[in-house]
Amino acid sequence: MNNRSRKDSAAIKAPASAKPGRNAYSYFPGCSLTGSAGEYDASFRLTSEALGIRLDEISDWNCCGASPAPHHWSGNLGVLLPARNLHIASGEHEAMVAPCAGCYNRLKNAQHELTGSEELREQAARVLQEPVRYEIEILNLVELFAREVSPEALAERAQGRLAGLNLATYYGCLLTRPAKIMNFDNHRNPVSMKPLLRATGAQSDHFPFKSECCGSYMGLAKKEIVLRASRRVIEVAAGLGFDAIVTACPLCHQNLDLRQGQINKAFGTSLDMPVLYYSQVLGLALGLGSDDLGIDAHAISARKLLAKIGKGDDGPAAATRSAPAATRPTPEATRSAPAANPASRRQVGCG
Amino acid sequence: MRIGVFVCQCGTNIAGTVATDKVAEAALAMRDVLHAETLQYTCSDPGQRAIIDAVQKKGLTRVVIAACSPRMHETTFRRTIGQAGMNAYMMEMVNIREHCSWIHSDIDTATDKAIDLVQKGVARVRRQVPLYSTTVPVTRRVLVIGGGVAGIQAALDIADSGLPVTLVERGPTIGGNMARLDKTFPTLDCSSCILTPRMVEAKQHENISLMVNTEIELVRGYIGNFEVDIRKKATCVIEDKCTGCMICQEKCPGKAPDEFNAGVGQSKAISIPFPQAVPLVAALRKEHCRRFIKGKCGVCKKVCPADAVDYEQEDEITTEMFGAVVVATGYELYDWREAYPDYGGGQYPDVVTSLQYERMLSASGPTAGHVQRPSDGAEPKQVVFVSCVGSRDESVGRPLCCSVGCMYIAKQAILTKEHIPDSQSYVFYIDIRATGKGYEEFTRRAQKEFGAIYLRGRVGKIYPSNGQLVVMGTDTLSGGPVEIEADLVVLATGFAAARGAGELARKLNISYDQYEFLSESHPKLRPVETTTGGIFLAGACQAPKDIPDSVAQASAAAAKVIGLLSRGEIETSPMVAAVDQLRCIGCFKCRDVCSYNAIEALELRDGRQVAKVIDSLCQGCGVCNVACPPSVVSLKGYTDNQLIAETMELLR
Repeated sequence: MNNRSRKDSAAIKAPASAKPGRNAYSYFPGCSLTGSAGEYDASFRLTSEALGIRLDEISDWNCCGASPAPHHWSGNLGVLLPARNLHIASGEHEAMVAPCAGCYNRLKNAQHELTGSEELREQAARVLQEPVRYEIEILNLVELFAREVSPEALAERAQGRLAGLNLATYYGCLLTRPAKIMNFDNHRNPVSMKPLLRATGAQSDHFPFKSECCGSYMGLAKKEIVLRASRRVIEVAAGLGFDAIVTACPLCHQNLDLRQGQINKAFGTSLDMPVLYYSQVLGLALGLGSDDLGIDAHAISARKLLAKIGKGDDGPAAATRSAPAATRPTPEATRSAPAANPASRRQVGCG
Repeated sequence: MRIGVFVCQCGTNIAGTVATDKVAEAALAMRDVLHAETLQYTCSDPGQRAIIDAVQKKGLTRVVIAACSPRMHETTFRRTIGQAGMNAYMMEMVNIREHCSWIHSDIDTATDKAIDLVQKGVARVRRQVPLYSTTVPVTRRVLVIGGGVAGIQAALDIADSGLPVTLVERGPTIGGNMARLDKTFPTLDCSSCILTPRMVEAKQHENISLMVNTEIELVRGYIGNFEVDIRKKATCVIEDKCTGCMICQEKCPGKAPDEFNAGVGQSKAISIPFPQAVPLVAALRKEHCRRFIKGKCGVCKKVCPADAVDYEQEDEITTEMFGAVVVATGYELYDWREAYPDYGGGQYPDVVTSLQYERMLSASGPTAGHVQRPSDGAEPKQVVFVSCVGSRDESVGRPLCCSVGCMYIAKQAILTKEHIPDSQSYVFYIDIRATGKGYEEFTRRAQKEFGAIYLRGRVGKIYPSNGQLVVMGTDTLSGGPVEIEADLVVLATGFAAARGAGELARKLNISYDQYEFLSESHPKLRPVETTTGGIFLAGACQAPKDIPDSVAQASAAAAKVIGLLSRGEIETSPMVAAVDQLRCIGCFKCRDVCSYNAIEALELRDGRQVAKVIDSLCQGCGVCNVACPPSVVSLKGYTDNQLIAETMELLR
């Protein structure tokens, strides 16, 4: 765990109603969260800590196996690489969390394949030089939060901070498919994010494109496909009046957020749809600072959205929005009501 | 004891894998076997004659026939040895076809197994005793459950033969789903125009007693004599007094969902479903009535000119005897909402089911035949039909075909064009299944004359955009994705068994499949019989069916009922349970487990209570046999010592 997040989150004390440290999990960040999706990692660590969830990064973890090279070209590497991660994690905790949907998908698939094949288990044992352990429960962060945080407890702490927003839940494909292996709520209509999002005070209407394809890694080989697919997802969300798309997948985020400019250029559109990580939204609801959560690291600015919930720079609107927040009883809440003074927003993290 | 063994070759069905000669040879060496021979087709005339000859010439007293399953020919051979002068039950069938030749390939192994099976049969037949069947008189009255087109047809056919029929319908009117249809395919006949005369006929028929708002509570008894408790539900309306003037419905302030119109439009808490309802009698739904919800109101009673409203009315249960039962409980549309979130899961008002659209097209429907989309009442110009919603879709656990969707879509596409000439219909389909008379031509007409555009592929998603619905699908013929901006989407929802079909089946003790469609006794040769004697099936309660098939099956069921009851009495199987009363301890565990209420208590002269089997009710299932702690209940024809002898023979 990096120092910054530990120091930052120390400022947020959990109220007595939420039991801290209820459970500890092995944490598998994977390459995305240590690189291009650094804000996903930061917001996940911050939010987890604020919610009293302990994350222990898996020691000496390696590639999850989902990158095209091992997955498609090298036979069993797509299973043996995750097998090593599962093996190490199985010795540390009963459950592990992989926030990246790609890692999550590959780890669960590898676990499924190991369960079904003695040959693979033997191969893994040869590589590891001991019998492979792979029985650990694998969770995505959506499942982790759904398990660890009750909507009532979150609602009590969020005090309706995100009221006024309508958030589109976007699950993509990797969290839910193949359905029989992933077992992720309902693959045709996943709903796991909804209860907690609503507990933040936000609205979260049915988003018909919640599991539609974003174009995935076709961005490398045939960019047009990604631009077309992601454009649709964003356009439908905009057409239905959503303020932001909420995702739990770095690749979806990249296609929807980073490529939104490319989409506008290619099609002459003027899309301006913020795309937030689920952990960032929950962090906002808990009163964490938007820059600590990495929201300003995105290509599409969330300024308008933040203004709507009283976190923007435009004073009057923000002031009216945060008016109920001022009456919040808990000390931590007062501290994290940043709108009245934008400067204080930065202090939240440092306490 | 003189036993004869007959080994059937069944052409090459058995002889191809089992050396039947060797089996006969081995049989001759078995105890008490006096005669053994192989026959090419034992069930044929010469085969049966050979058995009769052997019995009479060699004075055989028991016969073992090694052939096919007893389900096929046991009755044939019982009759054969009966003709030879033997008791028909001094016989045992050994199955060396389904249980042996058909499932093995090695001749030596199969032959050895066949010999073992014959040995077993011989051991059992040695312990057989003569059994005699009796006859019981039948009640010459018939119960028809369900008042849709199948139930009406069956009731009329049976009543025309002179037998009294009680036609029971759960809803407030007969007519079923057919009464809700606008037109019928492929002739475009007005559905109610052809149905209502039959409804009226059923009401007026001297041999039919019609009961609506009525359900089956409990069924006891057996073929020829069913004792049925019938619950007439309270509707707060005295049927004899109600004149059907509908003033109560007009004045009633309590809104209620319109079930007859499939939820399109609204009805009242007290209402008559539609103007041609039979009987034309109002019914009050307490769950929507202000008087019953809030305790205030009484408008209907006040305005009723016939004084027919009675809030104190209670359910009435009557018990009646019937000789036979026809089940015609029909179908309802599969509730698609939960399984298809991709189509909005019921959240988009302009995505409707086929039955809702039927009501929107119908001149007697809530919009008087003007097609208006539910969201804003506008006339739709682009209408998309989606086939196979909740049918032919394994991903939602409904692999079955609804068998009528392709046809009613074609019909509705034609009607759409007739109602709205400047409209365009699109049909997403998997295959066009049009196998009935004139059906294929009809689907062609929809395309050629009425310009419906057929796209072969499934719809993946429907979502709202700019006041319209975008339908995303595939066209597998051109090989690309298709998107259509629709004003109205009609889902061709599949068939589900009527609500409560499984529960009714359990009351009747008949079987049903995983979708709660009721099971016929044999898919080819006994299509209207159930596995329980005296209970017959008609219409879509058995499987999805169109109107002509339902009517045909109803008439077939009627013919079966008339045939059964024309005899006046029926022969019972002698293979029933029997209690050794000397050793019975009177614990009545047998009575507790009996599904047929076939065991009663009998007081002996010394005051001891013992169990007694009512032969006419016993089905010979053998459950009491197993349950009896001192093992004094036995099943005639399947006694413990017979079964033990068989088993010992196999273990030897």
